Amino acid sequence: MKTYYVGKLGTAEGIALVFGLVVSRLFLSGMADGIRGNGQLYWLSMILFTMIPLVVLFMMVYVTNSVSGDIVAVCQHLVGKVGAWLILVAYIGMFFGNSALVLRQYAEYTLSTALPRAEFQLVIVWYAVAAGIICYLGIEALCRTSYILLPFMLGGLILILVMVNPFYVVYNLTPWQGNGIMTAVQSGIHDAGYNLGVLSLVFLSSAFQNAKTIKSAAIYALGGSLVLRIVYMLVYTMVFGVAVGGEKAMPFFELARLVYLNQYIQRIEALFIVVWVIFGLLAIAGSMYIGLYLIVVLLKLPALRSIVPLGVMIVANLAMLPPDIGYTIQVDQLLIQVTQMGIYLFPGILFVMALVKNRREKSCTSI
Amino acid sequence: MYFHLMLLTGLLGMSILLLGCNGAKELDQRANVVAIGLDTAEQEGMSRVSYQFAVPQVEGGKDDASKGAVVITNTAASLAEGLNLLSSEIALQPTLAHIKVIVIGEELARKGLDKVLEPFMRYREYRGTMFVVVTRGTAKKFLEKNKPVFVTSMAKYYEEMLVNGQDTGYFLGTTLHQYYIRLKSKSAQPYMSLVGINPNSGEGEISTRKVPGGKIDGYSAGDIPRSGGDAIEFAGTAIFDGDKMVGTLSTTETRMLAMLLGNYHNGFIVVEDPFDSKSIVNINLHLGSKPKINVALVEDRPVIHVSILLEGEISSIPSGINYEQGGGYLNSLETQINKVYSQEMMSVIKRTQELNADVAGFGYYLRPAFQSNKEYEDYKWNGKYSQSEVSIEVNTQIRRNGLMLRTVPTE
Repeated sequence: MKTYYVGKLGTAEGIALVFGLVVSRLFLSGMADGIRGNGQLYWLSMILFTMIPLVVLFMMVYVTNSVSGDIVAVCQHLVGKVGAWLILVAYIGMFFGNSALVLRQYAEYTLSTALPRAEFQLVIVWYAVAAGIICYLGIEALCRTSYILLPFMLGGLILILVMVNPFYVVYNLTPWQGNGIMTAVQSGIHDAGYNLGVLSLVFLSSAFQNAKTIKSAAIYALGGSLVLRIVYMLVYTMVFGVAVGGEKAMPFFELARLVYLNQYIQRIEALFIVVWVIFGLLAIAGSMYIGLYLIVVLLKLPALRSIVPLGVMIVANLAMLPPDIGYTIQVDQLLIQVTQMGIYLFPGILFVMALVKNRREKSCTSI
Repeated sequence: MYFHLMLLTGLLGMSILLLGCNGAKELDQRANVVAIGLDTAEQEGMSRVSYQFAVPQVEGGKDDASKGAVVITNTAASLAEGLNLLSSEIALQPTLAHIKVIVIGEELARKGLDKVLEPFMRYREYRGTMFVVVTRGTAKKFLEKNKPVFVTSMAKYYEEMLVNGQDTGYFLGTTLHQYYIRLKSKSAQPYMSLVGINPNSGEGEISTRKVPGGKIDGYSAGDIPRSGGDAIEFAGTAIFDGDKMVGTLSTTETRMLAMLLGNYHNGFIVVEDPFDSKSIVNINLHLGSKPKINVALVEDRPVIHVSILLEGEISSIPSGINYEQGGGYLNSLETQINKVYSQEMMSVIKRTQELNADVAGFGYYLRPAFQSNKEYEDYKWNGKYSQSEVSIEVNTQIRRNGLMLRTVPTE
């Protein structure tokens, strides 16, 4: 038994893992880009880019149920050794890329908001090391910590959305079609990579109790994140409108800065920074863990912990590569486009191969 | 065991390093700016930036309130350079995170604020909840003359004034966020509170004459007939077309704007007694509900219908006429108020149409009539506002008579 096959994780831990992975970008500039591109109809895009990965997850659960073994065995059985390597190396790249880019953006926003005089490298290293420690403690620690923190963090976020109500302008939600229905549909299909994290449930399937646990976790996590995203998007649009909403580098931070209920309840964003730092850390750690896990199973290594420092160094160095925040956001957008392979292409191939295999087996049995 | 000990030591060491105290500045090392004043400078391409600093004092102590603030003015190429220069002028580190208000000189406001206010939206120490006001005259003089009477804290003065003082609707506290959102919305034009320095001579200047049936004249900041107290006053509204100030509204006009915006909280109105033209009736009025505004397109022309519900309580009937008995008396009084307010409101809307400044935000109500942002933007609301046809319906309900059940006539 390898140390990373836990097999004790339930629905709650799955929800926390996926939620942490997919919600982290809520605090980054993605919302501003989405509002600018789609206008008031961004919610439709959100529904699409949440539902598509959910369907993909169900396809992948079907695939893993068709073939016994971990994700490497499944891939090797369906697409051969070279195919399996290609697919899993691509996923490793996506998860490490995600971890590095999320790390860089959180580090940049930490520098812009909380610690403007801190050294850039120090902040990067701090995030990377903290994420590394979480990874080192293992997937159980990561998931259960996330689950314990989740209600408090969600409560904090919802409180901010409520407290900016003096600035709501409901008419900012009109014209209701925003920049057009087709634009929103296309954007929803393109941006499905935002929820790539849900596939972590399939990759770590051996750590979960059974397929039903994985499905439930995916439904609750993606459903919850969808509701949160839509509520956030509606409030953000009501407060800033489409024009100004598209200008902001840190949409959620800007919302928190607007809280002004009276002389005593204002300037609360400093408290809120702690919330998004925790979300960021969990997302960086989660993505890094999945990347490391895939390396471990691909190379058939006996333990994951020993390569955590390697992962920390890779992620920290990748994060420091982009020269500025503008370029980082561009690369991040590129990564979201690349992750379409991880949402559409690879699961599609594996699903078709699993279907073909099952039909062949059925026809053989009937003879 | 050894590894866990090392890990624990490392984590503890890291937590000590991350306390954030290495970059900390104590309170007595900071100079908190509570207000910034912006004016045009004589030199081309330069601005005059005035900083009003809070000088810590004991609330309720014997300190002179006028010493609660210090104003320093720099002429600089930009706000950032103004801040650099400050470091050469004061021993403490200037901190902008506690700014309550940005005061803009009228001349600068009329030239345009686009380039002036941009840094306020970008730099982290500024925030959208800062209030913005336009002063008649220069911002420098406004800040220098401001000597609050009732509070020693300048920050508290601005906050109390701009948050609570606007209840009567004679001025409207506007935040930088609200200004900026309107500037970019293509559905409304920005506005700011108008402030000024009163000569304290006891004489004033009327900006808006009372309408028939009404008994209240409108004043602008600096023109209220009074003597005593702080020289500073907040009265009226500066209205903008885009980023340029194009006109002002008086106190009574601003109250109409407050009603249209749904921001009118509570205030006394004085109208002519319908049964005794030499007497007046005072009513304490508030909005009974948010204004119902409908904007529709009729043959591509905007048609605006405004419906306002006001609820009130009689606070004074000097004529002694028994309005409390209800029926026709009360109806006549309500009709009088409706007539006065309809006229005042129509006059304000016409004035804003002449200035092409939709400060009431009627454009927002038109947005649902379009399906997409492109359709709406192509319609170009701000250019069409002046052509709108407007109808107003004011409905007043006097709900209470104050503390008197009836008025017994004197002999």
